Amino acid sequence: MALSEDGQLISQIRQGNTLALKALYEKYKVQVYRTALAITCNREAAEDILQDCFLKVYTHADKLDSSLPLSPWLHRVAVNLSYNWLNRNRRWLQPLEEVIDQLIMPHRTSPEAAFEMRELQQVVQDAIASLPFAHRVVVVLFYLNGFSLNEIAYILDCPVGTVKSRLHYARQSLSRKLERARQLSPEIAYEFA
Amino acid sequence: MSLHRTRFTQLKPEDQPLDTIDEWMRWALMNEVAGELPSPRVWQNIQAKIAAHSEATPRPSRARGLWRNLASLLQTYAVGFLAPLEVSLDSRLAPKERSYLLWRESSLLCLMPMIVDGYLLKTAFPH
Repeated sequence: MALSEDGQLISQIRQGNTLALKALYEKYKVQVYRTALAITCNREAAEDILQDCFLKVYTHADKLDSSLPLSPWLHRVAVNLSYNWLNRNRRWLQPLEEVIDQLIMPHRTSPEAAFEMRELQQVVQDAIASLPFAHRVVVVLFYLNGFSLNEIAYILDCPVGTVKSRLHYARQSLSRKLERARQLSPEIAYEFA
Repeated sequence: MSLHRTRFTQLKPEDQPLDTIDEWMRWALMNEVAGELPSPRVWQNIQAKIAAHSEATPRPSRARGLWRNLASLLQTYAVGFLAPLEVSLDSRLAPKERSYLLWRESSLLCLMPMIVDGYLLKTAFPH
C-alpha cells in the first residue's frame, strides 16, 4: 500500500531528514498552535506546546505508524502537553463572577455595535474557558478542529460514549452559564428556547 | 437547543444567524484564535533543540555497536581464561591458597556463558 504524504515524510524523518520535519511543521503548525491556544488561552504556552509536539515527532518517528493520518496523533500530544501545562499553571479557570463583572462593567459605556459584538464573543469564550479541562478539550476539538467523535475518542484515549457525554454536559453547562449571564445583565438580550 | 437573540440579531457575524448553541460555540472559538499564528522563533527553537539532541547523543551505527560489544566480550573472555592460568603459575602462593583461587576463578569462568548471553541479548534488543 502506498504511503500517504505524511507517511512518506515520517519515513524521511526517521532517516534524520529535518526538511521533511519542516514540511510537516508547515502543514500542521497553525492547527496545532490554535488548538493549544484555545485550550490554554496563553500564546507562550501554545508556542511551547507546538514546539514540543514537533520535537516528539522527530524523536518518536520510529514509533509512529506512517499508514495512519498524523493529525489525530499530533493533537493527542498537544492535548496531553496542554493538560500538563494547565496542571503546572492553575490559573486558567476564571470564576463565573469575574466573567459577569467583565460583562456588566464596560457594557454601559460602549454603545457601539462592534464593541458589543466583541463583548458577546468574550462572554461565550469565557463561558467555554470556565468549563472543566475534559469538557473544554472536547469542545475545542469538536467545534474548532472539526474532529469526528471517533477521532476525539482516539485523541483523548477514551470511549466514544464518554466523548458524547462530555460534549452533552459541556453544552448544558454553557447554556446554563450564558443564561445566568443574561439574567444578571439585561442588556445582553438573548434567551434560550 | 436554540439560542434566540433579539438585540444581537443585527450583530450576527457575516450576516448569518447563529441559532444554536453549537453555532455560538464554533463561532466564538473560531474568533478566539482567528489570525493567531506561531512566531518563526518556534521553528528556530525546534532546529536548535534537534541539533543539540544530535550532538549530545550521537547515534552509533548498529554495526559499530555490535563490534564494540564483541570486542568487549573477547576482552572479558581473555581475562577470564588468563586468571586461572596466572594463579596456577604463581609459585608464591601456598597450595591451599592456590586451590581456593583456582576454584574461585573457575567458578567465574563458568559464569561466562551467562555474561555472553547478556551481551548478546543487549545487542539484539537494545531497548
